Amino acid sequence: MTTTLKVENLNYRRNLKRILADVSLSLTGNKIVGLLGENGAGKTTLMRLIAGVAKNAKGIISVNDKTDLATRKSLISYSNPLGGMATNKRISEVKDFYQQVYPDFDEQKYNQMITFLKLDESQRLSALSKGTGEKLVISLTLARQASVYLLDEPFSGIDSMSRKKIINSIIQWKPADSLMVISDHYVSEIAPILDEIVVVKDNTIVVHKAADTIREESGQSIEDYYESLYGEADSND
Amino acid sequence: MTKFTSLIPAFLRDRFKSLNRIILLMLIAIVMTEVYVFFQEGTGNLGASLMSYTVLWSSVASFVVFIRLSMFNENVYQNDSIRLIPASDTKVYLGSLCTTVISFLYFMVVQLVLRIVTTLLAGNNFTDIMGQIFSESGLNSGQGIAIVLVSLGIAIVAIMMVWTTISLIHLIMLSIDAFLPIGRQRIIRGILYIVISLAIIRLGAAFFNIYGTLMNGLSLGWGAAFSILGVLALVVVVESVVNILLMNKFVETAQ
Repeated sequence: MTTTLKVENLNYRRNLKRILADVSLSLTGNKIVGLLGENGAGKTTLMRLIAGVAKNAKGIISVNDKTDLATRKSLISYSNPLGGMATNKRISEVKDFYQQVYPDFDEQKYNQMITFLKLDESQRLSALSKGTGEKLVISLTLARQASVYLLDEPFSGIDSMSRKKIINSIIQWKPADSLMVISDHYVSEIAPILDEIVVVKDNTIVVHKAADTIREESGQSIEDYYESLYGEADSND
Repeated sequence: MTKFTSLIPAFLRDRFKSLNRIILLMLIAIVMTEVYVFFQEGTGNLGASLMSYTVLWSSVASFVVFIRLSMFNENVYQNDSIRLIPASDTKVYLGSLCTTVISFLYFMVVQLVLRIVTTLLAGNNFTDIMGQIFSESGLNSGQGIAIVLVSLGIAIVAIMMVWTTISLIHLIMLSIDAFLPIGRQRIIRGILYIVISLAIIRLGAAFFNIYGTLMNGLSLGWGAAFSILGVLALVVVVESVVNILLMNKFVETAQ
């Protein structure tokens, strides 16, 4: 069976600081995986390296066994599409740009999502609240027909009602044969849709387990289990 | 994967939008200046002032266009919305550089049309003026057109060289930046910008100095013109190769 996402012995340093050390990860199938860790643990860096926008790392990253950067980018949809985009652009212009540069962009799906999330296409990016901006990012990211979706804190700034609505809809928006990695601090809210969790701590991956296994073995909720990982360390200090 | 032909229109859109705004402002400035001249001096001097103020405002607009296009060019390297596009760094770099050149050519065409229109409005016959230039220089129209085309080619490749050199300095800095300790980045970056810029300028000056010495013995002719064109093109190619390499290996997007 082809591994959907494989990271082997990944090491990354920036500004003389070690950010990731000897990270290895193998994800297969059409799962939803929670990437958890405290602020500054290296979750975003790991996603950026997988997406190909962070450079100069040692190690191997492959998607569907493809390591070539351009091919990898065509297989990954990473939730930072507005980074660096001019803020005077309207949402409709951003969509046009997306349609032009991403051959796998599904306009119909995008339209369904912006209707569901009540986005006004005539609004400029500069006029969007943080939450509305995140809704747009989610729509653009999931409108692509990719093999791997990387959602980096996609719900920050979104009100709790919309957040629950979006989390519940993610399963229907996610293509059946794709892998989704979500990093988020609202662990209890995303826990019901997670198949596996990966915890980044002390510059490396310390846990990679199926969500059901955690519930069965430890008898804890995902959130309690995750917090216990930090609790142990705190009590040792 | 994204085709080169899809990248070009996507990159052109923002550049054209920005250029059209500058062109509009330039036209407004010319008209406003002419209205001012009309109220100050009457109709007597309108033709001559139209020609001279068009040259003045066109020069200002050209400078602004150059800065704006340079900004568009440099914005690519750290921009997630562009670097996430499923295309190789070579394709993205060349796509950006090509659209910058196309945009500049578009601006030059607008400038040419504007000059012809203002010449006609000032009461001069454009073909008469061109004819006069050719007869005074002893050239026939065929030779004249050839000289204009080669000069234009040299000007375009020279401006491309300026853009690739700016990118080279920027990309070297961004590459070094990743290895600098946090906290002292700003000071070291400032010093490095000056040192690297001076080093590249000195290197470029030395290169063109050697080239100039070699060319000194030759009389100016077609050979010399094509040789200048070739050397400039070579610098553009070498700098572009280094830029793509730096982009591919070290330069990441801003967080």
